[in-house]
Amino acid sequence: MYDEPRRWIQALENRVQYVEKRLRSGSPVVGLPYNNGALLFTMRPRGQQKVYEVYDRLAMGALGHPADVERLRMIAVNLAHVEGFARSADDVTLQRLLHFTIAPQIKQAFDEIYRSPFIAKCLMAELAPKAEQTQFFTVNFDGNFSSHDRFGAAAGTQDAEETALHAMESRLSESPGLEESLRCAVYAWGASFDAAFNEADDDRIEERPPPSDDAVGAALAKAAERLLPEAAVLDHTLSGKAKYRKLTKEELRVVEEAAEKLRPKENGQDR
Amino acid sequence: MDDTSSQWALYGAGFRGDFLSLLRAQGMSPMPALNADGADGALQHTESTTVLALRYKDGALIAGDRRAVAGSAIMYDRADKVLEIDERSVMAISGSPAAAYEMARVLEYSFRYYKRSQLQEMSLEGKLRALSQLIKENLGMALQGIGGVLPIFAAYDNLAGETRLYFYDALGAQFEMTDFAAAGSGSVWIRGALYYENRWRQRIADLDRRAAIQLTQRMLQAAAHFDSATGGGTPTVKCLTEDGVETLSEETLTAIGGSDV
Repeated sequence: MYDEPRRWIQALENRVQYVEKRLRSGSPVVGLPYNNGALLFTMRPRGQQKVYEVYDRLAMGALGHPADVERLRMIAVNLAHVEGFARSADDVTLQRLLHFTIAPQIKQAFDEIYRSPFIAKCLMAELAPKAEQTQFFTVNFDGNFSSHDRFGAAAGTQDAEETALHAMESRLSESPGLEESLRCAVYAWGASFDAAFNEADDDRIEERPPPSDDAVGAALAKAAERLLPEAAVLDHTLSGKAKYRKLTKEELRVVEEAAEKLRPKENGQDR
Repeated sequence: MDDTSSQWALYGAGFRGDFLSLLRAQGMSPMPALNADGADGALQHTESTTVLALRYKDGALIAGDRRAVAGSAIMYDRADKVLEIDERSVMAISGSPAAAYEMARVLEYSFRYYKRSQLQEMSLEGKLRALSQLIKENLGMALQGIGGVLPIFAAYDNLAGETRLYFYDALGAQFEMTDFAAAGSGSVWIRGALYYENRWRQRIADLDRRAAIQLTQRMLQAAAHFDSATGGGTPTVKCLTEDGVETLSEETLTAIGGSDV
């Protein structure tokens, strides 16, 4: 049935549409630097976790089907530990994990149309051993991945990812503290979530203005009804080998404050 | 078919956080037994040591000397025999360093892998079992007289909110010690002293941090005095409390000292 090339291509295109549709409403994950390392932020449904420790200096956050996220996470965790044990922790780098194992496996699952693809997108962060420059990689459901300077985002649509990156680039200062980064992450998450739902036509994406503060506030307020904030840092001031730490409830209080400030005023004109 | 099975193994849903099965699924052997048939114990190996651990007021101190010997030859005076396994456990090794360091590495990876894959920390019981299993697997080496490992394991018990000390025999049986534990060739010289100290002078459990550090250093000096295989540079002393593991600096150790005050 798929022996003709065009049918195979057609099947892949159907697959892209299907996966994109499933991912569209997913909660974005944003990654940004702060003065002690890197921060990953997202909003999670009750009872679920979306940000994970992968290895000493590696962390990931993902959106998509929980079972697929779990498969991806286990590949990364297993690979990192086998590699770190056989060689050394310094040999476990995102560049190696992604190029040689994770990306090819996702691609293979995506291309083999009789197998189920990964309905997941993930953002991976690596705390660089020396330089302050933290690396973020966004891994797409077809095995493609890309890296951005300073910031990273994984969201339901391409547009939503770019919106998040733009929001962080324009709002975060040169060397932000944890609280500043967290506020910025909340804003970027809200902007990205808004963009995923109000996507412009493909040809107008370039000229689309960033969402207004009110739109971001409305997206955050809507999300707060069913989602809880979740964040973790890779902090190079931690004493042990493992640099991953989840933020506590107290530290996450900033998120509610930031969302509250952006909440649109009740003046009858809001949506 | 080529490498699909090993790739599939990376999905690892079936490992339940067991690092050793993960390694085996990758075709790797965590602690390959060396073939030493007919060694007759003629092979000189580095082992003798003094390590000790005690429970003081706020937690546990785990300490070890720095010397590694082969027969009567001093091979190395900067050996580190007190190893941090994770944020909640420390192992002090006596016996064959090659097997002991590998054991520590396997444990460290087992605990971390469990925590990261299962999204919760391994229980204290689970950690003790893991070490016990490794010692048992190492029995062949121990019987041949070249790879025996007798560790002291100290861990913080999250449930009980206190530290616990264990020592192991060569078959992997574990024994919990309430006040102190010592192992290695020099330990015979100080176990009596520790007993005397604890029984007739001041309970070790009541000592404050400074007094505990001092007692630890004094004991290592006493061991070094009688046992030629104990000695070397400033000892390694780690402190395990609710807050995690702290390695005491050389300055701290020198300042508190082990000599007469």
